[in-house]
Amino acid sequence: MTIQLAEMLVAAIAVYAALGTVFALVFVTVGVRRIDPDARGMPLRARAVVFPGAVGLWPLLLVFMIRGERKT
Amino acid sequence: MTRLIRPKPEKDLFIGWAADTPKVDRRFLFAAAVGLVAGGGGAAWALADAQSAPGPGVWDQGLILDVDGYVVADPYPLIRTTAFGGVKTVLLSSMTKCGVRDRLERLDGTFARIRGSLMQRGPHSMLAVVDDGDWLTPTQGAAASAELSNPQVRSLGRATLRGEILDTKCWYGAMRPADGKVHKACASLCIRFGLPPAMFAKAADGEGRALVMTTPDGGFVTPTEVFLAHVADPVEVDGEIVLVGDLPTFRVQPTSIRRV
Amino acid sequence: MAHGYQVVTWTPFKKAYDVVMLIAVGVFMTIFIVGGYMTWPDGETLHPVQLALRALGFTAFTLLHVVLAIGPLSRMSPRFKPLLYNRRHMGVTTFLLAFAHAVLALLWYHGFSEMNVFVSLFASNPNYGSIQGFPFESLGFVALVILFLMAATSHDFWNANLGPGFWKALHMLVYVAYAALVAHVMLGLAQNEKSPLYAYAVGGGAVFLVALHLITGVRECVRDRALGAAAHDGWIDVGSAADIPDGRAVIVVLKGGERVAVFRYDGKVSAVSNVCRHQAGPLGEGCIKDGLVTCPWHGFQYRPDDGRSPPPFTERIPTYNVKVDNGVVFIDPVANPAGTPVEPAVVAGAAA
Repeated sequence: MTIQLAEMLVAAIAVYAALGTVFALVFVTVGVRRIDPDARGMPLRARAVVFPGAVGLWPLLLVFMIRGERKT
Repeated sequence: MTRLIRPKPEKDLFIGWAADTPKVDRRFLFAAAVGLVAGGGGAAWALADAQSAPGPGVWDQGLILDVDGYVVADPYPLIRTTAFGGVKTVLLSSMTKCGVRDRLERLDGTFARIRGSLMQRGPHSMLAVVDDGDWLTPTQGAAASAELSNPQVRSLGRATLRGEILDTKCWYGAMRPADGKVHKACASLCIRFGLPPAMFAKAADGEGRALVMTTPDGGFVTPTEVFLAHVADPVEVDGEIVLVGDLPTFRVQPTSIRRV
Repeated sequence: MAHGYQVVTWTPFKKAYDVVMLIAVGVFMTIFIVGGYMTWPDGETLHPVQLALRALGFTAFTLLHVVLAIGPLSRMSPRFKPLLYNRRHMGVTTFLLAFAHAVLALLWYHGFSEMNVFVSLFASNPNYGSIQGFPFESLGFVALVILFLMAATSHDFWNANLGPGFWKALHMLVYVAYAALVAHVMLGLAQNEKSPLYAYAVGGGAVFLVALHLITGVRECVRDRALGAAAHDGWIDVGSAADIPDGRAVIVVLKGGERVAVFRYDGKVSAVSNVCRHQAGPLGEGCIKDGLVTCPWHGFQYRPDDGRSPPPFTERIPTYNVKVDNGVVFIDPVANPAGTPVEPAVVAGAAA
């Protein structure tokens, strides 16, 4: 891998992670209720546990949030 | 085709959230726990014990020395000094993976005092200069000044060496071990940012010598991407071994490096 | 279960499990570091940072072997099943050790220069076209990303919200991570070291895990073929009710591979999907506890007559229509929607 290519890859990962962090903050505070009714009143620590996963999988959760509550 | 499975009925089914673990499970799990800890410990010992020798390089960052001598910027920043008994060439580096050529140029070819901490591995020495402003002060020439400013240059003949290209700083003592593929990225960074590359060829006793690499006319080897790609790989290089004062160097055509 | 998410729903067993695991990790790392110092004379030992790097890497990789062995071992013998119960804590510990290893490697080997550490990680060794010279660091990065996603989604919240299918698929990536790590060690440290022990240890570990998975796979195939059931007017003959131990089930494998757990309890028979909503555990290998179908993996529970978890829990599994004719149990192979109440069939004579 050339340095230019590596720089592009690292920039892409950084953008993904930055967007993920912003999304995850919104998700664990308000968004989580939209997709999972059980998450209402979830303690702060449990929200913190959910946070890293939301950073990693944010595009998927964004789709879930737009679609609304999950059907069991 | 429809099939039927009859699970074996177990007397006490383990249910994780239950307060009690069935007795038979408790005994088995205790044995498994002991086995895990003992087996892991044994494996850890075997893995630790089989490690190759990391080499004898040392770097005491806490011991700051003032070294007087003759300062040279080319091909690589160095100071020739009698501070350690006899005439000795000590290469110079920064505290990080960067050379000090740019910071040295104003005093190139003069007598000076340099402050830093010493890395040593056998006869090889390097001084990592301190980061603050007063690391370099001009001085008067010492008694052995001619020998310091005009070292004898002596050819030991042409040779084809098989080994690896590594960076002098890590190998002299900044890291242990400082060779091979695991260290490749680090060696390549060091050389890219100006630390002298060296050709390391192992002698029969295992502890080889690292010869500072220069161009055929004794100049600085430009760290091109092609050159850096060969760092830490097993390579074969043709060149001339030249002793500059007490410093063994290897004059090579960088394009002649072959991966083996 | 899903109601009221907590960070960890602690039980005495989980606490004991974690204590043993942390002791094992501590003993492994301590012995490795002490052993590493004792192998070479003073001043010629590995640099402390590099020794710590190796200690973390070895511990994480060894623990991953344990994690991967638990699955097939618990299929081989039910005695290992309790180890499955809190496996996620072992997985998260593996990730944390690997993460510490990665951070240290990034700082030590790729830091202290003018180049971005991540750019150096991917580009400092450009030999991507070579097998022997391949940059093992990139392989470690891929494995770490997978271990991160698994650790980050190990909470039941993710299991519920990603759906068991997607969750399971995501977590099956552990085998990709494992393969990447085998290559990471083989093309990295094992290549640097003179002793062949490292290559043998990695190879031996891989052979052990592959053999364990193959043996359990073959055994399950053989076992699945052991008994046949005949169709009867669209209903499936599951055999005599008396052959189902009380409080237990038989598992019926339907034509499409769908599995149904048929439970006998209190003189009644009920049929539900064999797949637990939690982590797809085999409900038919579980039992009836306090009148509820209880999963053998993590203890999730469902009412046998409607496939619903008791309040306040909200999980639902499909149910199947069931009848008993002359002591022989029949099920309708068409599943009812999850949570549909079905009248349990009464086993004649059992009421008395």
